[in-house]
Amino acid sequence: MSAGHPLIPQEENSLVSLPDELLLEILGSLSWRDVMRVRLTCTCLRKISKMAWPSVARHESRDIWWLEKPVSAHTEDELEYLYSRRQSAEIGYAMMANGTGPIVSTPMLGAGCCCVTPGGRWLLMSNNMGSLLYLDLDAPEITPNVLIPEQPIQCVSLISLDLDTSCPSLRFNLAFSLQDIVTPYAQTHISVWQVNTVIDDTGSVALRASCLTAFLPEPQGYVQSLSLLGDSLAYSHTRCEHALTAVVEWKLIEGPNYPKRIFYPSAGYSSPSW
Amino acid sequence: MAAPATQQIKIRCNDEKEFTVDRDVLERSVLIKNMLEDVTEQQDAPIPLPNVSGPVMAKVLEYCTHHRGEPLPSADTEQSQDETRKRTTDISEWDQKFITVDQEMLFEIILAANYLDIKSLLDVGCKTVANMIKGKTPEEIRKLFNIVNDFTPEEEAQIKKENEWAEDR
Repeated sequence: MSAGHPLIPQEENSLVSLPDELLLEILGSLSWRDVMRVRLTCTCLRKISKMAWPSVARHESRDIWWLEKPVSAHTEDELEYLYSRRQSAEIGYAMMANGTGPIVSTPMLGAGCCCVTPGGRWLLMSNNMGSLLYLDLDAPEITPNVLIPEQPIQCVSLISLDLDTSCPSLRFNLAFSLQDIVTPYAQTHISVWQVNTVIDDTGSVALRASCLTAFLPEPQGYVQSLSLLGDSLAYSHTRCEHALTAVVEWKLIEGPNYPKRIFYPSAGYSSPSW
Repeated sequence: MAAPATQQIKIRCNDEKEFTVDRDVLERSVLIKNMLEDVTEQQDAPIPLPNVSGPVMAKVLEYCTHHRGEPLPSADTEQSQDETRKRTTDISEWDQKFITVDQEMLFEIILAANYLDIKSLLDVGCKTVANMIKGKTPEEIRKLFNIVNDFTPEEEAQIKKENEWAEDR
Protein backbone atom coordinates (compact mmCIF):
# COMPACT_ATOMS: atom_id res chain seq x y z
CA MET A 1 0.00 0.00 0.00
CA SER A 2 2.95 2.29 0.66
CA ALA A 3 4.08 1.92 -2.96
CA GLY A 4 1.50 4.47 -4.13
CA HIS A 5 1.49 8.21 -4.02
CA PRO A 6 2.78 9.19 -0.56
CA LEU A 7 0.34 12.09 -0.32
CA ILE A 8 -2.77 10.03 -0.96
CA PRO A 9 -3.50 7.61 1.89
CA GLN A 10 -6.27 5.04 1.60
CA GLU A 11 -9.43 5.54 3.65
CA GLU A 12 -9.85 3.51 6.80
CA ASN A 13 -13.04 1.66 5.87
CA SER A 14 -11.89 0.91 2.35
CA LEU A 15 -11.72 -2.53 0.76
CA VAL A 16 -7.93 -2.29 0.84
CA SER A 17 -7.95 -2.13 4.63
CA LEU A 18 -8.54 -5.89 4.55
CA PRO A 19 -5.37 -7.96 4.97
CA ASP A 20 -3.53 -8.94 1.80
CA GLU A 21 -4.28 -12.66 2.13
CA LEU A 22 -8.03 -11.98 2.21
CA LEU A 23 -7.83 -9.61 -0.76
CA LEU A 24 -5.91 -12.34 -2.57
CA GLU A 25 -8.67 -14.81 -1.73
CA ILE A 26 -11.30 -12.43 -3.13
CA LEU A 27 -9.42 -11.50 -6.31
CA GLY A 28 -8.45 -15.13 -6.91
CA SER A 29 -12.12 -16.09 -7.22
CA LEU A 30 -12.85 -13.46 -9.89
CA SER A 31 -12.81 -13.94 -13.65
CA TRP A 32 -9.73 -12.67 -15.48
CA ARG A 33 -11.70 -9.82 -17.03
CA ASP A 34 -12.71 -8.59 -13.58
CA VAL A 35 -9.13 -8.83 -12.33
CA MET A 36 -7.97 -6.78 -15.34
CA ARG A 37 -10.29 -3.98 -14.16
CA VAL A 38 -9.48 -4.32 -10.45
CA ARG A 39 -5.77 -3.84 -11.13
CA LEU A 40 -6.52 -0.36 -12.50
CA THR A 41 -8.06 0.94 -9.26
CA CYS A 42 -5.09 1.52 -6.93
CA THR A 43 -1.51 0.42 -6.20
CA CYS A 44 -2.54 -2.04 -3.48
CA LEU A 45 -5.00 -3.95 -5.65
CA ARG A 46 -2.59 -3.75 -8.58
CA LYS A 47 -0.02 -5.55 -6.45
CA ILE A 48 -2.48 -8.16 -5.11
CA SER A 49 -4.01 -8.79 -8.52
CA LYS A 50 -0.61 -9.89 -9.81
CA MET A 51 -0.41 -12.52 -7.06
CA ALA A 52 -3.95 -13.66 -7.88
CA TRP A 53 -3.23 -14.73 -11.48
CA PRO A 54 -2.22 -18.36 -10.73
CA SER A 55 -5.48 -18.86 -8.81
CA VAL A 56 -7.52 -17.15 -11.54
CA ALA A 57 -5.86 -19.25 -14.23
CA ARG A 58 -6.45 -22.47 -12.28
CA HIS A 59 -10.17 -21.99 -11.86
CA GLU A 60 -10.51 -20.97 -15.50
CA SER A 61 -8.57 -24.06 -16.47
CA ARG A 62 -11.00 -25.08 -19.20
CA ASP A 63 -10.20 -21.86 -20.96
CA ILE A 64 -6.40 -21.69 -21.00
CA TRP A 65 -5.54 -22.85 -24.50
CA TRP A 66 -3.75 -19.53 -24.95
CA LEU A 67 -1.18 -20.31 -22.26
CA GLU A 68 2.12 -21.53 -23.65
CA LYS A 69 2.67 -23.91 -20.72
CA PRO A 70 0.72 -25.51 -17.86
CA VAL A 71 -0.45 -22.89 -15.31
CA SER A 72 1.98 -24.11 -12.64
CA ALA A 73 4.96 -23.54 -14.95
CA HIS A 74 4.16 -19.84 -15.42
CA THR A 75 5.32 -17.07 -13.08
CA GLU A 76 2.86 -14.42 -11.88
CA ASP A 77 4.52 -11.89 -14.18
CA GLU A 78 4.12 -14.15 -17.19
CA LEU A 79 0.48 -14.82 -16.40
CA GLU A 80 -0.21 -11.11 -16.02
CA TYR A 81 1.49 -10.45 -19.34
CA LEU A 82 -0.43 -13.26 -21.04
CA TYR A 83 -3.77 -12.06 -19.69
CA SER A 84 -3.00 -8.49 -20.83
CA ARG A 85 -2.10 -9.87 -24.21
CA ARG A 86 -5.32 -11.82 -24.33
CA GLN A 87 -7.30 -8.71 -23.56
CA SER A 88 -5.72 -6.74 -26.39
CA ALA A 89 -6.19 -9.69 -28.74
CA GLU A 90 -9.87 -9.83 -27.82
CA ILE A 91 -10.28 -6.14 -28.46
CA GLY A 92 -8.37 -6.56 -31.72
CA TYR A 93 -10.77 -9.24 -32.89
CA ALA A 94 -13.74 -7.09 -31.88
CA MET A 95 -12.38 -4.28 -34.03
CA MET A 96 -12.00 -6.61 -36.98
CA ALA A 97 -15.64 -7.63 -36.66
CA ASN A 98 -16.50 -3.96 -37.20
CA GLY A 99 -14.64 -4.07 -40.48
CA THR A 100 -11.76 -1.89 -39.27
CA GLY A 101 -9.25 -4.67 -38.67
CA PRO A 102 -6.02 -5.01 -40.61
CA ILE A 103 -5.68 -7.17 -43.70
CA VAL A 104 -2.15 -8.49 -44.00
CA SER A 105 -0.83 -9.29 -47.43
CA THR A 106 1.95 -11.86 -47.55
CA PRO A 107 4.32 -12.66 -50.41
CA MET A 108 2.68 -16.03 -50.91
CA LEU A 109 2.89 -18.02 -54.07
CA GLY A 110 -0.08 -20.20 -53.40
CA ALA A 111 -1.21 -20.95 -49.92
CA GLY A 112 0.22 -23.90 -48.05
CA CYS A 113 -0.58 -25.09 -44.58
CA CYS A 114 -1.04 -22.95 -41.51
CA CYS A 115 -0.79 -23.43 -37.75
CA VAL A 116 -1.24 -21.25 -34.66
CA THR A 117 1.35 -21.88 -31.93
CA PRO A 118 0.32 -22.72 -28.35
CA GLY A 119 -0.37 -19.45 -26.59
CA GLY A 120 -1.89 -18.03 -29.77
CA ARG A 121 0.75 -15.41 -30.47
CA TRP A 122 2.36 -16.76 -33.62
CA LEU A 123 0.81 -17.90 -36.89
CA LEU A 124 2.90 -20.16 -39.09
CA MET A 125 2.14 -20.36 -42.80
CA SER A 126 3.88 -22.16 -45.63
CA ASN A 127 3.76 -21.37 -49.32
CA ASN A 128 4.23 -23.57 -52.36
CA MET A 129 7.92 -22.69 -52.65
CA GLY A 130 8.68 -24.64 -49.48
CA SER A 131 9.15 -21.55 -47.34
CA LEU A 132 7.68 -21.24 -43.86
CA LEU A 133 6.66 -17.77 -42.69
CA TYR A 134 5.60 -16.56 -39.26
CA LEU A 135 3.41 -13.66 -38.19
CA ASP A 136 3.31 -12.01 -34.76
CA LEU A 137 -0.42 -11.66 -34.12
CA ASP A 138 0.30 -9.31 -31.19
CA ALA A 139 2.32 -6.81 -33.18
CA PRO A 140 0.65 -3.45 -33.88
CA GLU A 141 1.58 -3.99 -37.55
CA ILE A 142 1.50 -7.64 -38.58
CA THR A 143 4.21 -8.43 -41.09
CA PRO A 144 5.34 -11.84 -42.35
CA ASN A 145 8.85 -13.02 -41.47
CA VAL A 146 10.80 -15.99 -42.83
CA LEU A 147 11.28 -18.91 -40.43
CA ILE A 148 12.46 -21.49 -42.98
CA PRO A 149 13.76 -20.17 -46.32
CA GLU A 150 12.27 -21.29 -49.62
CA GLN A 151 13.45 -24.29 -51.64
CA PRO A 152 14.09 -24.43 -55.38
CA ILE A 153 11.08 -26.67 -55.92
CA GLN A 154 7.36 -26.22 -56.20
CA CYS A 155 5.82 -28.23 -53.48
CA VAL A 156 3.05 -28.81 -51.01
CA SER A 157 3.96 -28.89 -47.34
CA LEU A 158 2.72 -30.12 -44.00
CA ILE A 159 3.70 -29.07 -40.47
CA SER A 160 3.31 -30.54 -37.02
CA LEU A 161 4.33 -28.89 -33.71
CA ASP A 162 5.58 -30.41 -30.47
CA LEU A 163 5.74 -27.93 -27.58
CA ASP A 164 8.66 -27.95 -25.12
CA THR A 165 6.95 -27.16 -21.80
CA SER A 166 10.23 -27.18 -19.85
CA CYS A 167 11.55 -24.03 -21.52
CA PRO A 168 10.80 -20.68 -19.84
CA SER A 169 10.05 -19.06 -23.19
CA LEU A 170 8.11 -20.49 -26.11
CA ARG A 171 10.06 -23.30 -27.72
CA PHE A 172 8.80 -26.12 -29.89
CA ASN A 173 9.97 -28.71 -32.35
CA LEU A 174 8.50 -28.57 -35.77
CA ALA A 175 8.21 -31.35 -38.34
CA PHE A 176 8.02 -30.02 -41.89
CA SER A 177 7.42 -32.07 -45.00
CA LEU A 178 7.90 -30.90 -48.56
CA GLN A 179 6.43 -32.76 -51.52
CA ASP A 180 7.63 -31.84 -55.00
CA ILE A 181 4.49 -31.56 -57.13
CA VAL A 182 6.13 -31.01 -60.50
CA THR A 183 8.75 -33.72 -60.87
CA PRO A 184 7.22 -37.20 -61.31
CA TYR A 185 8.16 -39.68 -58.60
CA ALA A 186 10.05 -37.02 -56.68
CA GLN A 187 10.84 -37.83 -53.10
CA THR A 188 9.24 -36.18 -50.13
CA HIS A 189 11.61 -34.34 -47.78
CA ILE A 190 10.89 -34.38 -44.08
CA SER A 191 12.86 -32.21 -41.67
CA VAL A 192 12.63 -31.54 -37.95
CA TRP A 193 13.46 -28.06 -36.62
CA GLN A 194 13.78 -26.53 -33.22
CA VAL A 195 12.07 -23.15 -33.02
CA ASN A 196 13.02 -20.68 -30.27
CA THR A 197 11.77 -17.29 -29.21
CA VAL A 198 14.62 -14.77 -29.50
CA ILE A 199 15.17 -11.02 -29.30
CA ASP A 200 16.22 -9.86 -32.75
CA ASP A 201 18.59 -6.99 -33.74
CA THR A 202 15.83 -4.41 -33.50
CA GLY A 203 14.97 -5.49 -29.96
CA SER A 204 11.67 -7.13 -30.82
CA VAL A 205 10.62 -10.71 -30.19
CA ALA A 206 11.11 -13.07 -33.10
CA LEU A 207 11.19 -16.79 -33.89
CA ARG A 208 14.32 -18.62 -35.08
CA ALA A 209 14.48 -22.16 -36.44
CA SER A 210 17.46 -24.47 -36.54
CA CYS A 211 17.41 -27.77 -38.37
CA LEU A 212 17.81 -30.86 -36.16
CA THR A 213 17.49 -33.52 -38.83
CA ALA A 214 16.36 -34.04 -42.41
CA PHE A 215 15.63 -37.26 -44.23
CA LEU A 216 13.86 -38.89 -47.16
CA PRO A 217 11.18 -41.24 -45.86
CA GLU A 218 11.48 -44.81 -47.08
CA PRO A 219 9.69 -46.27 -48.91
CA GLN A 220 9.02 -43.28 -51.10
CA GLY A 221 5.57 -41.84 -51.26
CA TYR A 222 3.27 -38.87 -51.17
CA VAL A 223 3.05 -37.71 -47.53
CA GLN A 224 -0.50 -36.84 -46.57
CA SER A 225 -0.25 -36.50 -42.82
CA LEU A 226 2.48 -35.73 -40.31
CA SER A 227 2.61 -35.85 -36.51
CA LEU A 228 5.48 -35.02 -34.15
CA LEU A 229 5.64 -35.81 -30.43
CA GLY A 230 8.85 -36.17 -28.43
CA ASP A 231 11.20 -38.57 -30.17
CA SER A 232 8.44 -39.97 -32.39
CA LEU A 233 7.52 -38.75 -35.80
CA ALA A 234 4.59 -40.39 -37.57
CA TYR A 235 3.62 -39.93 -41.19
CA SER A 236 1.15 -41.46 -43.58
CA HIS A 237 1.86 -41.67 -47.23
CA THR A 238 0.64 -43.23 -50.42
CA ARG A 239 2.23 -44.10 -53.69
CA CYS A 240 0.02 -45.56 -56.39
CA GLU A 241 -1.90 -48.36 -54.72
CA HIS A 242 0.37 -48.59 -51.67
CA ALA A 243 -0.48 -46.81 -48.47
CA LEU A 244 1.26 -46.93 -45.14
CA THR A 245 1.76 -45.17 -41.86
CA ALA A 246 5.22 -45.16 -40.27
CA VAL A 247 6.50 -44.12 -36.86
CA VAL A 248 10.14 -43.05 -36.83
CA GLU A 249 12.52 -42.21 -34.00
CA TRP A 250 13.73 -39.07 -35.66
CA LYS A 251 16.66 -38.43 -33.29
CA LEU A 252 18.28 -41.66 -34.46
CA ILE A 253 18.12 -40.86 -38.16
CA GLU A 254 21.51 -41.15 -39.81
CA GLY A 255 21.47 -41.90 -43.51
CA PRO A 256 18.83 -44.21 -44.94
CA ASN A 257 18.72 -46.64 -42.00
CA TYR A 258 16.79 -45.68 -38.89
CA PRO A 259 14.38 -47.40 -36.51
CA LYS A 260 10.85 -47.29 -37.81
CA ARG A 261 7.63 -49.15 -37.35
CA ILE A 262 5.33 -49.42 -40.32
CA PHE A 263 1.62 -50.01 -40.27
CA TYR A 264 -0.19 -50.90 -43.46
CA PRO A 265 -3.81 -50.01 -43.15
CA SER A 266 -5.84 -52.83 -44.60
CA ALA A 267 -9.54 -52.47 -43.84
CA GLY A 268 -11.21 -49.39 -45.20
CA TYR A 269 -8.50 -48.52 -47.65
CA SER A 270 -9.52 -48.44 -51.29
CA SER A 271 -6.66 -48.14 -53.72
CA PRO A 272 -6.76 -45.45 -56.38
CA SER A 273 -7.69 -46.74 -59.82
CA TRP A 274 -4.72 -45.42 -61.80
CA MET B 1 -22.92 -37.78 33.25
CA ALA B 2 -19.37 -36.52 32.87
CA ALA B 3 -20.34 -33.51 30.80
CA PRO B 4 -23.75 -31.89 30.32
CA ALA B 5 -25.29 -32.40 26.86
CA THR B 6 -25.10 -28.71 26.06
CA GLN B 7 -22.21 -27.08 27.82
CA GLN B 8 -22.48 -23.31 28.03
CA ILE B 9 -19.43 -21.21 27.29
CA LYS B 10 -18.92 -17.55 28.06
CA ILE B 11 -17.03 -15.23 25.73
CA ARG B 12 -16.09 -11.57 26.11
CA CYS B 13 -15.65 -9.18 23.17
CA ASN B 14 -13.32 -6.18 22.97
CA ASP B 15 -16.15 -3.82 24.01
CA GLU B 16 -16.74 -5.82 27.23
CA LYS B 17 -19.91 -7.31 25.75
CA GLU B 18 -20.34 -10.91 26.94
CA PHE B 19 -22.21 -13.82 25.38
CA THR B 20 -23.12 -17.21 26.86
CA VAL B 21 -23.35 -19.72 24.04
CA ASP B 22 -23.80 -23.49 23.56
CA ARG B 23 -20.42 -25.11 23.11
CA ASP B 24 -21.27 -26.78 19.76
CA VAL B 25 -22.29 -23.40 18.30
CA LEU B 26 -19.03 -21.79 19.38
CA GLU B 27 -17.04 -24.70 18.03
CA ARG B 28 -17.87 -23.59 14.48
CA SER B 29 -14.87 -21.38 15.20
CA VAL B 30 -11.74 -23.48 14.89
CA LEU B 31 -9.89 -20.93 17.05
CA ILE B 32 -12.33 -21.33 19.97
CA LYS B 33 -12.61 -25.10 19.41
CA ASN B 34 -8.85 -25.44 19.83
CA MET B 35 -8.88 -23.15 22.86
CA LEU B 36 -11.60 -25.25 24.51
CA GLU B 37 -9.76 -28.48 23.79
CA ASP B 38 -6.66 -27.12 25.53
CA VAL B 39 -8.66 -26.39 28.67
CA THR B 40 -9.54 -29.56 30.59
CA GLU B 41 -11.12 -28.05 33.68
CA GLN B 42 -14.38 -26.19 33.74
CA GLN B 43 -13.63 -22.49 33.60
CA ASP B 44 -15.93 -19.74 34.74
CA ALA B 45 -13.88 -16.87 33.35
CA PRO B 46 -15.14 -15.81 29.88
CA ILE B 47 -12.88 -16.41 26.87
CA PRO B 48 -11.53 -13.02 25.78
CA LEU B 49 -11.85 -12.22 22.05
CA PRO B 50 -9.89 -8.98 21.72
CA ASN B 51 -10.32 -8.73 17.95
CA VAL B 52 -14.13 -8.87 17.75
CA SER B 53 -16.72 -6.33 18.86
CA GLY B 54 -20.13 -7.16 20.37
CA PRO B 55 -22.32 -6.25 17.37
CA VAL B 56 -20.07 -8.23 15.01
CA MET B 57 -19.97 -11.23 17.37
CA ALA B 58 -23.78 -11.17 17.53
CA LYS B 59 -23.86 -11.53 13.72
CA VAL B 60 -21.22 -14.26 13.77
CA LEU B 61 -23.17 -16.18 16.42
CA GLU B 62 -26.34 -15.86 14.33
CA TYR B 63 -24.45 -17.56 11.52
CA CYS B 64 -22.95 -20.26 13.75
CA THR B 65 -26.34 -21.05 15.32
CA HIS B 66 -27.97 -21.47 11.93
CA HIS B 67 -25.21 -23.76 10.69
CA ARG B 68 -24.71 -25.73 13.95
CA GLY B 69 -24.39 -29.46 13.44
CA GLU B 70 -23.06 -29.19 9.88
CA PRO B 71 -19.75 -30.99 9.32
CA LEU B 72 -16.67 -28.78 9.57
CA PRO B 73 -14.28 -28.86 6.62
CA SER B 74 -11.43 -31.20 7.56
CA ALA B 75 -7.80 -30.67 6.65
CA ASP B 76 -7.84 -33.58 4.16
CA THR B 77 -10.64 -32.19 2.07
CA GLU B 78 -9.36 -28.65 2.18
CA GLN B 79 -7.53 -28.90 -1.11
CA SER B 80 -10.44 -30.25 -3.13
CA GLN B 81 -12.85 -27.91 -1.39
CA ASP B 82 -10.57 -25.07 -2.24
CA GLU B 83 -11.02 -25.88 -5.90
CA THR B 84 -14.80 -26.26 -5.71
CA ARG B 85 -15.08 -23.11 -3.68
CA LYS B 86 -13.17 -21.07 -6.19
CA ARG B 87 -15.18 -22.33 -9.11
CA THR B 88 -18.54 -21.30 -7.76
CA THR B 89 -19.62 -17.95 -6.46
CA ASP B 90 -23.04 -19.27 -5.44
CA ILE B 91 -24.22 -18.40 -1.94
CA SER B 92 -27.20 -20.17 -0.32
CA GLU B 93 -30.37 -18.16 0.15
CA TRP B 94 -30.10 -17.97 3.93
CA ASP B 95 -26.44 -16.93 3.79
CA GLN B 96 -27.23 -14.33 1.19
CA LYS B 97 -29.90 -12.78 3.39
CA PHE B 98 -27.60 -13.00 6.39
CA ILE B 99 -24.75 -11.22 4.63
CA THR B 100 -26.93 -8.38 3.33
CA VAL B 101 -25.42 -5.81 5.67
CA ASP B 102 -23.69 -2.47 5.22
CA GLN B 103 -20.17 -2.56 3.91
CA GLU B 104 -18.47 -1.76 7.19
CA MET B 105 -20.24 -4.71 8.84
CA LEU B 106 -19.40 -6.94 5.86
CA PHE B 107 -15.69 -6.19 6.23
CA GLU B 108 -15.94 -6.66 10.02
CA ILE B 109 -17.60 -10.06 9.54
CA ILE B 110 -14.87 -11.10 7.10
CA LEU B 111 -12.15 -10.03 9.53
CA ALA B 112 -13.89 -11.79 12.44
CA ALA B 113 -14.39 -14.99 10.42
CA ASN B 114 -10.71 -14.89 9.50
CA TYR B 115 -9.62 -14.32 13.11
CA LEU B 116 -12.02 -16.91 14.57
CA ASP B 117 -11.18 -19.33 11.75
CA ILE B 118 -14.70 -20.01 10.49
CA LYS B 119 -13.94 -21.03 6.93
CA SER B 120 -17.48 -21.26 5.58
CA LEU B 121 -18.34 -17.76 6.87
CA LEU B 122 -15.11 -16.35 5.47
CA ASP B 123 -16.08 -17.85 2.11
CA VAL B 124 -19.53 -16.28 2.19
CA GLY B 125 -17.95 -12.90 2.96
CA CYS B 126 -15.26 -13.12 0.29
CA LYS B 127 -17.72 -14.36 -2.34
CA THR B 128 -20.04 -11.48 -1.51
CA VAL B 129 -17.25 -8.96 -2.09
CA ALA B 130 -16.25 -10.79 -5.30
CA ASN B 131 -19.85 -10.63 -6.53
CA MET B 132 -19.92 -6.90 -5.83
CA ILE B 133 -16.79 -6.40 -7.95
CA LYS B 134 -18.04 -8.44 -10.92
CA GLY B 135 -18.62 -6.51 -14.13
CA LYS B 136 -17.75 -3.11 -12.67
CA THR B 137 -15.39 -0.54 -14.20
CA PRO B 138 -12.31 0.54 -12.21
CA GLU B 139 -14.02 3.84 -11.32
CA GLU B 140 -17.18 2.06 -10.14
CA ILE B 141 -15.07 -0.29 -7.99
CA ARG B 142 -13.24 2.68 -6.42
CA LYS B 143 -16.51 4.42 -5.63
CA LEU B 144 -18.20 1.31 -4.21
CA PHE B 145 -15.34 0.35 -1.92
CA ASN B 146 -13.95 3.74 -0.89
CA ILE B 147 -10.73 3.17 -2.77
CA VAL B 148 -8.51 6.18 -3.36
CA ASN B 149 -6.73 6.33 -6.70
CA ASP B 150 -3.17 6.54 -5.35
CA PHE B 151 -1.22 6.00 -8.55
CA THR B 152 1.66 8.35 -9.20
CA PRO B 153 1.39 10.47 -12.36
CA GLU B 154 3.88 8.11 -14.05
CA GLU B 155 1.83 5.05 -13.14
CA GLU B 156 -1.33 6.81 -14.22
CA ALA B 157 0.20 7.50 -17.62
CA GLN B 158 1.25 3.86 -17.93
CA ILE B 159 -2.29 2.70 -17.04
CA LYS B 160 -3.78 5.14 -19.54
CA LYS B 161 -1.56 3.59 -22.18
CA GLU B 162 -2.65 0.08 -21.20
CA ASN B 163 -6.26 1.16 -21.43
CA GLU B 164 -6.05 2.96 -24.73
CA TRP B 165 -7.03 -0.15 -26.61
CA ALA B 166 -10.05 -0.67 -24.40
CA GLU B 167 -11.22 2.91 -24.71
CA ASP B 168 -10.97 2.89 -28.50
CA ARG B 169 -13.72 0.31 -28.72
